[in-house]
Amino acid sequence: MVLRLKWYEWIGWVVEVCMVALGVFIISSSIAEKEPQAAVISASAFGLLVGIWSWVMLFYGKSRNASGI
Amino acid sequence: MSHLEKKRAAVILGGSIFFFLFWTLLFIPWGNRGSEAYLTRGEVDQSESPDKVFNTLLIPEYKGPKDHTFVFTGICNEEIKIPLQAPVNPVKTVVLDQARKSDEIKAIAESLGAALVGITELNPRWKFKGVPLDHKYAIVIGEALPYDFTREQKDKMKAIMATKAILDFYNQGGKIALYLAKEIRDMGYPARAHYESWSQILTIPVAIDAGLGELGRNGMLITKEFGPRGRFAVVTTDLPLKPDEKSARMGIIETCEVCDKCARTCPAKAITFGGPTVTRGVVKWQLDNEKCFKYWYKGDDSWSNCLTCMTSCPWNKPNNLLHRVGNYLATRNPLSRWLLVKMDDIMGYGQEMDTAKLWQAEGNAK
Repeated sequence: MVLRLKWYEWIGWVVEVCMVALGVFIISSSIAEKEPQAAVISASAFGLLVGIWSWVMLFYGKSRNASGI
Repeated sequence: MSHLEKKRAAVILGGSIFFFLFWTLLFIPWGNRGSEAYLTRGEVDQSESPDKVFNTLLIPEYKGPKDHTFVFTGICNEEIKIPLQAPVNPVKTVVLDQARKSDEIKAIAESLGAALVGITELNPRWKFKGVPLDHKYAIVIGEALPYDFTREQKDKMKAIMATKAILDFYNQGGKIALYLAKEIRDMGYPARAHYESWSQILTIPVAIDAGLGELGRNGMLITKEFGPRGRFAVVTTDLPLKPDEKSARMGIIETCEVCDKCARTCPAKAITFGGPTVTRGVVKWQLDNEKCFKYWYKGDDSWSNCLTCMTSCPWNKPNNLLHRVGNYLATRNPLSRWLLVKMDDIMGYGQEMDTAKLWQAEGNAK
C-alpha cells in the first residue's frame, strides 16, 4: 500500500505526530506526579488541538470523492 | 491545484509553520540581562551580624550551644561532638591538583548527604561586618525539601512536616558542613562551617557565586534542580581548591519581574511588588524580614508553618524530565518565562500553604 500524500500533507502529519507525542508525554508525567488538575487540563487542551488538526488533515479541503463520501 | 486544494495546502502549511515557529521561539536565547546572576551597583555594604537580627526578632534562645560544640548521635547512639572551630592539624596535606581536590571535597560532601555542592572564591563583601574571617574559598552545600511537602495546600499535617523538615534540614545541612570542615582541618587547613545563626557570611550570595542558582523575589535562592526548595550551608577554608565555572544565567530576576505570585500570596505582606531596588549596593527585592519572621514564629516554640512564598513560586516543581525541560525553556527568553508563569496558574501549581489560616478556619467552625 502506498500513501498518496502530497508534500505539504507529510509536513502536516509530522506536526500531528509531534503533538500526539508531546501530549502523551505531558499527560503521563502529570498522572505520574499525581497532579490531577494538570493532567485534566493537558488532556483537554491536547485533545482539542489534536482533534482539530486531525480533522484538518483528514477532511478539510478534500473533495467528496477523495474523502470517500 | 484546484482552489480547494490551495486552501487546504495554505491551512496545513500555515498551521505547521506556526507550530514549528512557536517551538523555535521558545528555544532561542534572548532577553537575559548581563552575565552576573547577582546584580550589584557600585560599592556593596557588608551586612550586620545576624546576632543583631535575632535580638531584634526577640529570639535570644537561638544562639546555639554556649561552647559552640555541636553534639550529634551516631548510628550506634554514640555521642559525636564536633566543635564549630578547632585547631588545625599541624601536618598539612600537599595539594598538587586543585581540580582533583575540589572533586574530592564534593564527593565527601555528597557522601555525607549533600544534594548540591558548589565551590567559589569567598567574596569579602558577603562577610558580616566586623567578623574576623579571612578564608579564601567557600564550599556551598545544598539540600532540598521534598517537593511533596510543598504542594499540598489543604493538608495541615504536610505543612507541619514541611516546617519540621526545613528546621531539620538546617540541622542536617549544618551537620554536613561541620563534618566537612572537620575533614578539611584534619587535612591541615583552616576551615569553618557556616549555617543558620552561626554563620559569619551571607549564604545566598555565596551560593550564587558558586553557580548554584539565582536570587528570587521571595528572597530565596532559586536553583535549576529544586527551585526555591533548597537550603544551604557553607564551609569556608584555605584549602587550595578550583572554583566552579560560572553557569549560564537562568533569568530568575527577569522571571520575577513578570511574576509576583509570592508577593500576592504572602500572608504577612512581607514581599514587595514592582521591580527590584538597590539595597546596600545589591539589586534585589527588599523583604520585610521582621514581618515575615513575626508571622512565622509566634514565640514559645509556636510556628505558623507558612511556606507560601516557596509553594507559590513557579520554579517550585518536581525534579522530573517534564519540569526540567520546562525550567530549561523558561531560562531561554521572555516569552518562555511568561508562559511558565501563566501555565503555573492554569495547571494549578503554586498554591498558598499557610496552616495558620487552616487552624483559624477550624477554630471558627467549632
